[in-house]
Amino acid sequence: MSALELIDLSKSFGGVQAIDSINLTIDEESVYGLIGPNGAGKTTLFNVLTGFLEPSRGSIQFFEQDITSFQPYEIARLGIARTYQNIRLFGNMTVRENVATAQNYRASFGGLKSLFWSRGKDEADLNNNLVYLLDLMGLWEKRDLVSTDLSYGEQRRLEIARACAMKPRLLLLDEPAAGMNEVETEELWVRVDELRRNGLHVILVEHDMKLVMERCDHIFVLNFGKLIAQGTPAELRENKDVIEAYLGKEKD
Amino acid sequence: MSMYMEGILTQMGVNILMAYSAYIILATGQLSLGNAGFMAIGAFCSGYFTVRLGMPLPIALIIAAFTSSAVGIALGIPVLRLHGFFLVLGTLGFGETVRAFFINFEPTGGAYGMRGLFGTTFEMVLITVFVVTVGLWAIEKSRIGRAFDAIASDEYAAQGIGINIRAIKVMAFGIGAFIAGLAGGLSAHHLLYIEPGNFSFLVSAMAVLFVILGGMQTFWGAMLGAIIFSLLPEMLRFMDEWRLSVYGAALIILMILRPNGLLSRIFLRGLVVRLKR
Repeated sequence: MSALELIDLSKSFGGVQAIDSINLTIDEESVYGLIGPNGAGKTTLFNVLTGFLEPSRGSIQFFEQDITSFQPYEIARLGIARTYQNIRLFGNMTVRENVATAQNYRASFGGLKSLFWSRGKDEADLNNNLVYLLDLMGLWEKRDLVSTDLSYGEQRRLEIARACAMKPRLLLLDEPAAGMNEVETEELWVRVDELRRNGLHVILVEHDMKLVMERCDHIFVLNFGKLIAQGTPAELRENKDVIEAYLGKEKD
Repeated sequence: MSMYMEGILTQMGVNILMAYSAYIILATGQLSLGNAGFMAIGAFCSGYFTVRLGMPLPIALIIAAFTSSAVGIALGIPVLRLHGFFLVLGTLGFGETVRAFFINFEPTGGAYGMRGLFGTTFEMVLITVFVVTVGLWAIEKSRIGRAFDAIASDEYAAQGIGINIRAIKVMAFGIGAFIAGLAGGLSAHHLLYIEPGNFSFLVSAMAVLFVILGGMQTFWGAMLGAIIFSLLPEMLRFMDEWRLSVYGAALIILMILRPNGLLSRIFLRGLVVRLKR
């Protein structure tokens, strides 16, 4: 069973084809890279996948379920979590509350019932998961700080912890290493790798080519909204189209 | 207790309820300037039930509040598609529509209004405020309260973690309308006589003002704002005609000194920590 399948997926804004007939499939639990020059449609693709933009054509299958016209909150509950290019934390909450809020819809006693029985029997499970995630992301010591008081790198890690608090099956990371130095990036990677080993598909949008080439098992290359190539890092290093997209065409 | 004191305290209770009704909507990051409309529905509905149908006041109050809430939900579904200024104008329009409706609606006396309403006791107001306060406290502690905070902070990210923001916003609207309906019913049966003009835009604006002044991060702020700014005009009575000017000046000074309102969450948290020591 494929985890994610995009069939002829397109999104246009007026006359601009931001995403143009993309077909791709994701099966195994591993890390998929999504790369391409600026304006290639990477973030648009994330926004379509998570329901924030409605595709103009085509369909999205998530574990054999058609989620093409689903609302963002429905898609999130089905198990697609994401982080954002420009950090979007809940600035009116502490670190711990940010993560706890994302656990809301995992609780069997969510919604109205929570008014009366906020200490259900799976509260302990949720709390263990919360402690685990904060600990893994190196934020346990800072759990009671207001989220916007964290450093930039910590805020990025908190976004990942929040996304994973939903127990997603697919995690979309939109430039998680942006603005980080090499040491921080490496550190972040170790953490994400552990999350992945717990059973998770990860799609990574990243400009840091070193990170993508070293860490992704499979890479999709977008240019002008089209999927121009895919394969393992080794395969793509030799691919003419990819080199052309990044460096331009050679003059004859 | 003197009649005078009882009158002031009853009005204060009604103001607290109105502040709560504005607060619960503000808690999801939305601003309604139409809560006087919900108050009017509560007032005329309960008045109709007690005066024309002879129902006991508490039952009439509850039915009126549910009616107001139903209208709030029906209004919220279309109006909450709007954002920012447009939402404010939409709710403002709603408030004025309700007022105009009751001016023309003969069963509740039209423009002449209704008389013969009585029965609101101070105890009744006190119990209502207490029950609503406990309700808000429960909401704030619950997962729903966290969803409110998330939406107020970032609607985009809130959807991204599975929060159905339209449903939660409509729910907040429904709760706000319910509380405003209670306030309207209690106020009507305290004033003995009501007319549509009692429920003008100014009433909605005051409700929002209480919350902004008291602090909109917690319901305690809404309560404090309503208490202080209900008492202030009475305490300034010795100034005669000048008191309204002083009242206005106090608002401006407070906004400059404490732009986030009197009470904030950080302040409350600090207070709890200090009390535990």
